[in-house]
Amino acid sequence: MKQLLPILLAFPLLLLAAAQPANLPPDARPLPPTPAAAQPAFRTLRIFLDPHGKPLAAYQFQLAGDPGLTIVGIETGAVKGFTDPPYYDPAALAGGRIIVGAYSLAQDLPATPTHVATLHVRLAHPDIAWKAKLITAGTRDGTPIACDILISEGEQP
Amino acid sequence: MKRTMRWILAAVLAIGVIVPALIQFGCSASDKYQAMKMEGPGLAEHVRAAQADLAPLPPTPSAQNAPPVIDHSTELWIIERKPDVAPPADDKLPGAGTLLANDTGAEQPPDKLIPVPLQHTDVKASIAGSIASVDVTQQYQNPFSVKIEATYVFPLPHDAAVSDFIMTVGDRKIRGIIRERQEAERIYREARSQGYVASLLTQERPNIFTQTVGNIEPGKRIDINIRYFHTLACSDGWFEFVFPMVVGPRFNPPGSTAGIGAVGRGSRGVSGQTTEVSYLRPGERSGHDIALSVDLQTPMPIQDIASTSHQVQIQRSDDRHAAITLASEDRIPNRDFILRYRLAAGQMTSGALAVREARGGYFTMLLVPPASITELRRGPVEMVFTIDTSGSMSGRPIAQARAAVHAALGMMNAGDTFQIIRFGNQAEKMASQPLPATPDNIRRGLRFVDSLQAGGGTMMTDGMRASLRFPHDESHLRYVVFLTDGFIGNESDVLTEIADNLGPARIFSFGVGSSVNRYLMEEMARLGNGAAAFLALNDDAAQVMSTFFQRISHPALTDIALDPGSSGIHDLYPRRLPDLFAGRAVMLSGRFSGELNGQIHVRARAAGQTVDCTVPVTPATGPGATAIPLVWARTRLADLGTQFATGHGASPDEIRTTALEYGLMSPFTAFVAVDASRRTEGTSGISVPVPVQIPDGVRYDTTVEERPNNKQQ
Repeated sequence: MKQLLPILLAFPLLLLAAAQPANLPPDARPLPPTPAAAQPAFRTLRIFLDPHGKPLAAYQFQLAGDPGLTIVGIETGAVKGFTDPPYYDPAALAGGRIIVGAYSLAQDLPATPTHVATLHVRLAHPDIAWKAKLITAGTRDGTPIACDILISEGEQP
Repeated sequence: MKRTMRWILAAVLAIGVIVPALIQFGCSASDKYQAMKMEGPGLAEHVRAAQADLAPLPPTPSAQNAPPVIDHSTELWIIERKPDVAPPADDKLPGAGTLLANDTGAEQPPDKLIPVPLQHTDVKASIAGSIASVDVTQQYQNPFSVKIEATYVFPLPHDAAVSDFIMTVGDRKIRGIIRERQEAERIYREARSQGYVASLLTQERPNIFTQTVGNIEPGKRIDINIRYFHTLACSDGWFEFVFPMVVGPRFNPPGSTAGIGAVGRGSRGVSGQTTEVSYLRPGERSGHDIALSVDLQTPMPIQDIASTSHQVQIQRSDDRHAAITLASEDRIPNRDFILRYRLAAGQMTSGALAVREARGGYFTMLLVPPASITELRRGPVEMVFTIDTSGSMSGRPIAQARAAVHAALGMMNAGDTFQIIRFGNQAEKMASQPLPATPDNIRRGLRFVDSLQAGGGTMMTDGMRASLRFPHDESHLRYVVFLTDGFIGNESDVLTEIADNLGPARIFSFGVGSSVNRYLMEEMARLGNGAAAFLALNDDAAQVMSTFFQRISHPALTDIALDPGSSGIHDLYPRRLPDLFAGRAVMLSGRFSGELNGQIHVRARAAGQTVDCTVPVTPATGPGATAIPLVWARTRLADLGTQFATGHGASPDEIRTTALEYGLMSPFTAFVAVDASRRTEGTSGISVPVPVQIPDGVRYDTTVEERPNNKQQ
């Protein structure tokens, strides 16, 4: 038993060592620190749709703001049936318009007010206002839905 | 049902076009902005409820700085030593690779496992007809104790239309946005410096990309998913799907800074190039592995299917469907994955796929030379064999090149002439002028080829100049057979030499090795009115050359033109349609404004005779319908890119505009994604390159630059 003792004591130490993070590689290089000067802000804008009891299968909306508003990412919201992040229209974006849309082929679709998308945006200055305009929305069979749309700014990180 | 399908189609098209133009239903909210509208209490309550769900973020460790390592550089491929490259002032970290485990047999020294922030790459390809849609997922995980930015230089097919980019943080997927490159880079830097998780994808060459992922916290994982489309190459009845796994070490001429550097792990910055690939040393292995699967569906029964590069498992559910998976014991990403298949219907036939969307009509056409051209014989040729004998060709690649020229010399006709040129640090000719293919001269040629040894730099422009710029014997067709791995960073110099000085020659490029620069091979052949072929390390060189000689033993189909008729075909790419050689099909992509009426008429010439053919057109459905406009845009971008690179027209604005309109990667556009929902702690991180394996068959010591005192790290 005495002979086994060092091994038993060393075993947890070996496990601990294995769990340690690796040392930095020789190529690692510090990145420049955050500049002291004011920087553009990054924010999230959450898009809500209320399909008024109709199953929402597809939607498309335009986000409007001044040129200082830049979209830097699109994420799906807390919405059943829509797993992939919504798409954007690159041709419209090239023309300065932000048009976002999504569709679902799922059976179980939202019919109540729903957070459908989160837009990650860059604001060149703090006074930028934004608006969302619904372009279209519909059910699986193509019936249009009179949706209400709302933007809510996410918590500031 | 019909209405349902119409809706789904419209929704799919909403990705790229404006829905109201396609579907005519309205919406009560469609005419007014409703951002501030809070009519429905349910909606407002839902917003408040969603906000209440937000939880405080866990704290993260702040970045650490470490002491510096400062030394100076040497390089291996030296022709002329460039000034020492001093590491940046902020290069302040110790070298400290970590020995984690051993995994090799007793016969060899154990591999040293190097921790890297890229753990795994997962590739899922779906091939329908001749179009492949490929999803690549790179799994980054931070194995270090500080926040990092990971930088990974990796290859994709040179004709990939990269159209989708998604960053996954935890279980949240954030779609990246295509932007003008400088703007994307600025957004990325701003987000990174403020502590947001962000990622940036840039294109350095049509087949080399840089993925940067910022603010990966210790132990955290971030996935990057890239989707692209491309058309498959096909020749002699075989379709070929290629997925490149590693960028080969490139040589950059002295004085250049815009190339692709090749440096050893720990020697960052030593190449002096704007883009650098970091390589693991011999005996080192990272944990990065790759999984790859291909779902193949064909319109006709599959006759043969095989990978010539890797061990694969093939499952055939029926005669038109196969699922191919990379074998688990073959997952080191150190060479191109090559899958070939052919259909049972006998000869390959020409065909086109077309789709019409809001922007107009698009088509892709597989054009197969008619069998009738094999009835015609070629005239005598003046064959110029040009062999890359640079350091990256040492070992098995130069042996393959020698074997190929050996075989080719034995296939020449009595009336032919030949010349052999080698290039490394400079170009050297076997003889002052082409020699008749007599038995004595052939023996002389064989001796010259046998004497070739690889070493030194890759002054490929010199090699190309020597191959093109000498008096032409008008009684012979001049064919340049150019054998190289293409491992250079100054591709545009070589392409410019071809564009400016091709003269009467045709260039047949042969990519030799396991991870050749296919972009350069294809562009050399395209600008040189020839064709590209590839000679892998395990290929039969004599067989590859035999196929080539069969191809050139008949006259090429030239002056190809599509009859626009009532179809209104326009914007056809490649702008300069390639000549067709026996057995080798080409892919064209164009637009149309009228009606194709199920066929496109093609007219061409072969040996002075007119050749007419009719190509059937099929409406594209499913993923193919989405891909065809993107494939057209990518083909246009390739054409514009080569024009720009060779100084023959096209401006960055033209490239940028097309890329942004179709949401595609280009040299002047980039994808950026920012997770603005939370900030990581600390204001900066540590930048860490992802070192990669040297390609199979390539010698590290003749291709990779290192700092003198770096080798023991």
